[in-house]
Amino acid sequence: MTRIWGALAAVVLLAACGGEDAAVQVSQKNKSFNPNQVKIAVGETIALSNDDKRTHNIRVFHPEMNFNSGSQDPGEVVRLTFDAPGTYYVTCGIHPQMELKVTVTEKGSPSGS
Amino acid sequence: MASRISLPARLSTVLPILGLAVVAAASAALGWGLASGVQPEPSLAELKQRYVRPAAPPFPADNSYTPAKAELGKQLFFDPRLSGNNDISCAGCHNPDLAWEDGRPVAQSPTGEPRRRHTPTLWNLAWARTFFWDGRSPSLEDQATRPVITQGEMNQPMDSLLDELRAIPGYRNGFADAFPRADKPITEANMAKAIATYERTIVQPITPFDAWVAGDRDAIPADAKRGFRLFNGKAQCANCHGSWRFTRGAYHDIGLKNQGDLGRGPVLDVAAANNAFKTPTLRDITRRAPYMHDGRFKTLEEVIQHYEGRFVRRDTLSADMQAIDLTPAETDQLIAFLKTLETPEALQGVTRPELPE
Repeated sequence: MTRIWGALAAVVLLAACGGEDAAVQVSQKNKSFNPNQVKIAVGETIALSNDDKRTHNIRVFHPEMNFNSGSQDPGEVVRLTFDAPGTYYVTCGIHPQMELKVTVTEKGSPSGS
Repeated sequence: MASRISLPARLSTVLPILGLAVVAAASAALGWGLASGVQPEPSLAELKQRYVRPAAPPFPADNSYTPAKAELGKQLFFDPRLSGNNDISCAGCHNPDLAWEDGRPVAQSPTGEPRRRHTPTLWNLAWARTFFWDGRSPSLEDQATRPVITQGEMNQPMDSLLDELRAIPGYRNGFADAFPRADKPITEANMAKAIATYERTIVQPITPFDAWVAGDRDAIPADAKRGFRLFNGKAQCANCHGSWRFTRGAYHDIGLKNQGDLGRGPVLDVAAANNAFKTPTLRDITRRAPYMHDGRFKTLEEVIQHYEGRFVRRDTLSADMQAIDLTPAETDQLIAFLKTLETPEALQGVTRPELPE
């Protein structure tokens, strides 16, 4: 069964973030994710930063996660925490060619971007 | 569980304006070739590289290509028995002789009433990720049967259609060949898979532009080559149409006066995407008038005039929309380039299949 809101997700204002962020950083610019694939462990977080000049809409459709960020305006950060292993594809509802592949491994497995 | 923190201030009204100013300045500088501190204009070879065609269409793992499936899909696509009154097929609107469109401003119901949107072409959909002008379908399989059951389109209840197909021996054989492991192969899902498989084979033949990109220096005339430069530079078309498919598949509000259709916004439940429609491909565009999602412009000249500043400025306007300024000669060059995306006459249309009895 699809688990609606299967991840802890939050939107915060990038400009307000001053300290170090342990999340894996992904930039959205020129209608692309950079990097466009990351590998993380269960429980880790990705921070998707809209460094573009246009609004984005982060979407994840997966049996373990069904997420819609709503409008993500320039300067905003969407944070996604993945709580089950698997391969996820993060896309933009407005620019569907944008695709970020997220490989989530069990804790203790080698990870990195 | 999810949470969303309310923003203390919205930068969205400020940053896009700043962004537009910066980009406009950069574009102007690039256009005059006097840029300093901005990215240099790419070489012609680099530009051409962005438009190289892939070798073959992709097929999804859960609906791989087989000749039997594609042939069945073609028969279904051209068969008017898929409609409630047995009088219109998918090809009735997506006519291969008209670049897979119908030549009308907006689609027409079987009884002659206008629908609200222009019939889109089917060229190169194997590479697309969302379907319909508002992207409400996430796959060709999902899209394929929707017009069949929609009132005002083909208007055929699925159950009665499946009964009809099961009563046709040729279709019983065709579905059995296409889905040899299925006990009961005539299902809605298999019909959708077959039609989607056929649709993925609808790949535009090599155009003069493709031949030029592949190395034939004389495949397109000089004014079209200048138009290609404009397309990627001063005219800014490549912002949204810059790929070998001549669409990046994104949704943009291009400032058309709203006539009651909000497009992508309601599908996503994102107000920022209101008035946005999918960027159409420009392949065969000279054969696909009239233009826009509602067919409001009769000519490419009118389309270019729209981009020269005749668009509505509003909150949802795409950040990629900036008024362009072309001379009459440049407009002609741009259109000369677009003409090179036309399917050669000898390769237009397809052979109709023999329908199963």
